[in-house]
Amino acid sequence: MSQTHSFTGWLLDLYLNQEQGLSLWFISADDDSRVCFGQRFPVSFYAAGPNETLRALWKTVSGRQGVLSLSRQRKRDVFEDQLLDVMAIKMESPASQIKLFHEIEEIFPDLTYYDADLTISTRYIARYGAFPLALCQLEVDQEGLIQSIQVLNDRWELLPELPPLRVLKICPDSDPTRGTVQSLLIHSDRFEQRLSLDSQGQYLQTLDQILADYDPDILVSDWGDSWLIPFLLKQSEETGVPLQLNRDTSRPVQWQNETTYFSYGHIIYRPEEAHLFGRCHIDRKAAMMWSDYSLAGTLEMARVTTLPIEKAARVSPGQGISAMQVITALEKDVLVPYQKRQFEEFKTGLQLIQSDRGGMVYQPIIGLHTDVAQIDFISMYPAIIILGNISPEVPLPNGLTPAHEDLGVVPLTLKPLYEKRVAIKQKIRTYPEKHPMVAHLKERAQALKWLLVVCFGFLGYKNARYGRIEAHEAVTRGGREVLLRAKDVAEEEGFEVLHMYVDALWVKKKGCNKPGHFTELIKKINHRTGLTINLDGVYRWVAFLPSKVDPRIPVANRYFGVFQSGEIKVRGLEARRRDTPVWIAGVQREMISLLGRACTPSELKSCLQDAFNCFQQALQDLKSGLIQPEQLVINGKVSYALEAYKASTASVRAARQMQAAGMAVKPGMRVRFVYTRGEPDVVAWDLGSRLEVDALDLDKYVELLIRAASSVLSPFGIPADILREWSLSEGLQLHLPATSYLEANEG
Amino acid sequence: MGRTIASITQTWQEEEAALNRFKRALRKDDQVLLDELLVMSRLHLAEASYASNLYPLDMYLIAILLEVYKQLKDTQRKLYNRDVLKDQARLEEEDVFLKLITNYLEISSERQQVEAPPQQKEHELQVAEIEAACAYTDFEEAP
Amino acid sequence: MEHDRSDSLTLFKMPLPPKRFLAIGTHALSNRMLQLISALALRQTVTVLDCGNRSNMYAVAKLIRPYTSDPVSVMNHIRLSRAFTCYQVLAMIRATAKNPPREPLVLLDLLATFLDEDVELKDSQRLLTHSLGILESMSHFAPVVISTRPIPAIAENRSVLLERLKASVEICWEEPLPLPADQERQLALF
Repeated sequence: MSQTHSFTGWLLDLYLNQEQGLSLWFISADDDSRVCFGQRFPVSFYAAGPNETLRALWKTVSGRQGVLSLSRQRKRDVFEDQLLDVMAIKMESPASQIKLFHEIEEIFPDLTYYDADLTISTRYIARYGAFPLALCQLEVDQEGLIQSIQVLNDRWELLPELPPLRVLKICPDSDPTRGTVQSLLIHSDRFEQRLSLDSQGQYLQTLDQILADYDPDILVSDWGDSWLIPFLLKQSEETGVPLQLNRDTSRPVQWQNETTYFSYGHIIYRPEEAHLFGRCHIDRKAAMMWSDYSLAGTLEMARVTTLPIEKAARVSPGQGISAMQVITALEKDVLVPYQKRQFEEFKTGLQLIQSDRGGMVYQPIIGLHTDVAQIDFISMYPAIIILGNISPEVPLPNGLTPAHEDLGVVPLTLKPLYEKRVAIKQKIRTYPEKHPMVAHLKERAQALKWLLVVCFGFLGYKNARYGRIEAHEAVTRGGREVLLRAKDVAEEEGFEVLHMYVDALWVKKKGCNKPGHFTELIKKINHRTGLTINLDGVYRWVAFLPSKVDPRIPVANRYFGVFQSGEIKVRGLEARRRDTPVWIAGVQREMISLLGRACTPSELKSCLQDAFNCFQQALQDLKSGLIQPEQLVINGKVSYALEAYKASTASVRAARQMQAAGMAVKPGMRVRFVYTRGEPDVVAWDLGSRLEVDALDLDKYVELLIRAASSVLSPFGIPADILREWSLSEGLQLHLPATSYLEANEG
Repeated sequence: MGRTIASITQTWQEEEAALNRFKRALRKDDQVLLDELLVMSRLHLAEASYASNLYPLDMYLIAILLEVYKQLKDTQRKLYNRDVLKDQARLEEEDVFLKLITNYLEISSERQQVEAPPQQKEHELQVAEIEAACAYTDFEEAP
Repeated sequence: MEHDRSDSLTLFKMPLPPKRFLAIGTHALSNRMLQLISALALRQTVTVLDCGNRSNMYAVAKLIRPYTSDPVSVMNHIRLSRAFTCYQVLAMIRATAKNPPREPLVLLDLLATFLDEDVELKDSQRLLTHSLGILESMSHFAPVVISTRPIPAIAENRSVLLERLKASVEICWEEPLPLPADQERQLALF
């Protein structure tokens, strides 16, 4: 046996390597160096089916290159009661496994395959327990091949020892879809630099030098996938100035194809992705959840899901959960099916009506309410899945009591995730509010929250390997039961239930206006449901808004209010919608925050006047042409191919302009546009043409502003009609009318 | 996997649409009232969904009954309160009246005391006479 | 007989013989198929394999209401299962065939999942061939009624699936195509 040496470091990147099996990049714990090792990584996959077909398969694959062994084994399929006879095909490397599988799938399509399409990272963690940024102790031979690997920490550690990552940000100085980029801004913890783009490619030389000297682990870009990296590579080719973006210099940048997919009721378009070898590229504009949890959250996501960092930044949390479930199955030595074949169990017509239902969504009591507590169940659906042991392969509960002792794949996957999130949230409370750790931990908790949220949806997703419609229904059934129990307790305790929404209740009782007044209620609900409910806060006031179409009809998720802490909560209003122009969303937020200054109902009157003045000022600014077109861009969306649209919406008209200009329009793509006067009535923003304020259809924007303002003012008795009427009075400073709400409070 | 069973809101919309012809033929005032009834049924969509009855319309009708009954009770309560208030007001009026009389009597007696002390006996007598005149008398014993 | 009037709900003449029926039309003739399911459920057990999210049981409940005083029992005559991918459709048909029903079997919007562009056409074809083979053997015991919609223009390359389905049934009913608006039938003046 050849001599080995020890190495300790954090795993950064892992990918296929044709010769050795795998390439693994580590950050050394001893000297901060970045090192790449190889590792042989034989893998197995399985086939099940009629004996004669398996015999034919045996004949076909035996002796083929890369096949290490063929054997008959008895393994467990999660959906079968009995152990299954399978043919195990052991391959010398993941690359040869993928190749052979695609070949035999063509020849024997009717066999059932298992562990056939697993990612390397999934297989690796299942075998060695190593995940992105895991601290590992290795034994490496003289050829640089890993002979043994031991992981020194786990995915669930609360404050793991992390490597000092080198992060380099490269951002164009302007939106490349809107104009010409003049320079690139380079930023790291050590330096900041502006590189002006020149036709000879001198900036490429500087950039290449920076990459070589600083040697970043993570390259964060803006528009990296869609513009920056293609641009840099093209420039490098044209000018002949070499640019090495990868740390593994033997590789070119890898491109992952663009895709359109359906996720949680939305069609989503994901553009082409640029992946690097030996370091990670994260395009902030393509990272789905970047605005939600930034780098700390992305690394947490990679850690718990084991997805490579580049993937974890870009894919939906659903794919993360899916990877985690596969790991759970592999750790339990359960086969992972290639194609999901489970269909629904037979139901009667009546059972279908009873079971195909969502969460409890009540109609709130419209209007303004003071001293209201909002109490939420913490990750309600995941908690129900764990409490009720809801998993596709185990008997399901009819309520909340589990029907089976051993945790199934889904709750087994969720439990450590749920517990980690709770632990992080508890940890946050141990720091002072402004401590830098608080933001860091919050981002991580947010990433975990998303994983927990999508886990429920994944139970009902048609292609989810561990999805099952009955399990999905069992969770919503449990959710309804929990909420009704909570309602019962609240009413028994003399509270009025103003609203209930899936996992939250809004309650009030005379004399209860401090957090302590709700402690007993919370304790009793926890006891009655077996789940943990939490006081989200006590509102100074909260307004439940009616439907925009009919003011008599309440809408479940359209409200805003101010907690006693001064924190403002807004749901379902224009400011929360992605398509609302930035400026209008800002005005609405400002109006709410002005109202939020009122600590008592009596203070509301002056605050209401302030909010109203804010609207008037905004109206005046808009009419005077002070608001620039970029502030008024509407962020629309096309969900289908343009040919499929019969009616032409503003987004579709804008998308057609883009198509006519030779730009690709894909289903699920966001389409930015502004409303303009005359024909055409919209202009696609990304056409890049310069627009003057005069060209805008201001009447349209006035209407949008009025709608946003009336959402805020209507609970105080100022309807949209009045605002509309006043909007016609040129430049007149108006005073607030007497409103019924304030009169009542003054009386 | 998408939902197969129509959502409760969809079933409500279907039932509302089914009433279109009926509604169109109604007099305008009645159309407004029908609209108000339909709004009432919408206030209990969550409960109707939870009931998962074969015929959601049945639940909407019950919801309407519930809301109408609620309004009826509310009106009853208001009427009752108004009556109570009226009674109270009447009692207060009587109270005020009696106080006025008492005050008047007190003031006049004081004046008499100051101006003509010897007449006090006569005044007491007068009051006693009034009381005697108002005293209860059985019918049989009445003159 | 109380149930006899319910014959007016069906597309095919009742009682159905043990054969393979196919109905083609827009929305996979959802309403008419639900009428058929209602009429069958008023008489006997009916197995429904929903391959395209078409089993709106509220509609069935409404349809049976005039014909029965016990709608709950009638609804309980319906045994149904849903599949959301063509792999699941085949698995569902296979599972049904393990205990082939002696009563009618209705498959709603059979081809819906086979048109999914994420599944290669050759896989769709293979899975459909298997499915149709099993359905054929089941039709010896009880009627098998299949509904489907015309292949949309966007999936024209998959017309072969419909052709194969048509070739596999004994009785086929096709909804007459609506004339384009500008070619609406104009009666001759005289």
